[in-house]
Amino acid sequence: MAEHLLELRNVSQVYRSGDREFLALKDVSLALDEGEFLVLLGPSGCGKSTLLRIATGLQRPTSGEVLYRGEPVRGVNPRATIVFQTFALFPWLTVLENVEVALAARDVPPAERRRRALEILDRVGLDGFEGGLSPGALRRDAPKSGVCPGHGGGAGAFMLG
Amino acid sequence: MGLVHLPGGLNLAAVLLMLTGSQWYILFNTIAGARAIPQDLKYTARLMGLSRWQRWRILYFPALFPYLVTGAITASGGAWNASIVAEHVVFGGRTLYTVGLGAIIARATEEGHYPLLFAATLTMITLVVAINRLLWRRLYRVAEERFKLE
Ligand SMILES: Nc1ncnc2c1ncn2[C@@H]1O[C@H](COP(=O)(O)OP(=O)(O)OP(=O)(O)O)[C@@H](O)[C@H]1O
Ligand SMILES: [Mg+2]
Repeated sequence: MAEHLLELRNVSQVYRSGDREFLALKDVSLALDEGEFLVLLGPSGCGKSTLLRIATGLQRPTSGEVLYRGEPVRGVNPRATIVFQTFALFPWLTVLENVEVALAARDVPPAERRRRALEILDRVGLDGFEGGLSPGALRRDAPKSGVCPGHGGGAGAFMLG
Repeated sequence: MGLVHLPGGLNLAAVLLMLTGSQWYILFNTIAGARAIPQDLKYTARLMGLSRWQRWRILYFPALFPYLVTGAITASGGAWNASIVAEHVVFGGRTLYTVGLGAIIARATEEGHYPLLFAATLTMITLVVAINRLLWRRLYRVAEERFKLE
């Protein structure tokens, strides 16, 4: 059988609170290959965020399996990420520092972080925003300048090759 | 109460009493702070693959900072109060005093030594106000301006 980029096999999620049980995901199987783009659509509360958390390894499903390139995912998959609808930036850091944190986590040496972070902001049209700008100010100002994608949208997940 | 017989033991006991009284303010404030960290921010820290130390430095410490300051301010207020009662003990028919402002106030009250009571109280008021202005207020401002979770 061909190896998929991401594969979910018979994933179910039951949420328990006290003695009440809620079946949020029931027996979901799907496969995603390199270069594919998948959109999950559904009404509020149907389990989209739950599925994203399980696919990225943030959450272990009640039952079922998650495979990344054929290997079972244990813990958070370092090749996956989620862009949350709340943006989830560290508010005490500037926009530039937020980008640098992500690079620091990937062990990019300090000297190189600033350069790469500036390059990344430039590429997404946020150059000139890099000064001492806080994420709060970005959230306020960015829509006015038309650089803010996906307003009102939900969370998106990215699987990187 | 075996501490009483050690040299400086009563001082130590007084400090311990003030600490046990005030740690709760800090503890419960910290718990409240931890609960207030947005879930998405915690998820993002994990997805980025931040190490434990990085997570503390970049997420938990800054997010908890305002709560720690609030806890410490409340606690220090409580500790000033406690110092007056903690620094003297009636023990086995004898009254033991530690060296301290609280002890002076307690003793002056007991002995009706009003000029001393007045001076000591004034000193404490000045100290409390000075520490408030020089330390707590500054920390509070930093907490408000730098480490606020919107
Ligand atoms: N931690 C939890 N404990 C209990 N129930 C939960 C938990 N997380 C989610 N649920 C429930 O599971 C269901 C699916 O939630 P989920 O957040 O995955 O939905 P969603 O499709 O992302 O919704 P939305 O479009 O509003 O973001 C909802 O009914 C929700 O109430
Ligand atoms: Mg959701």
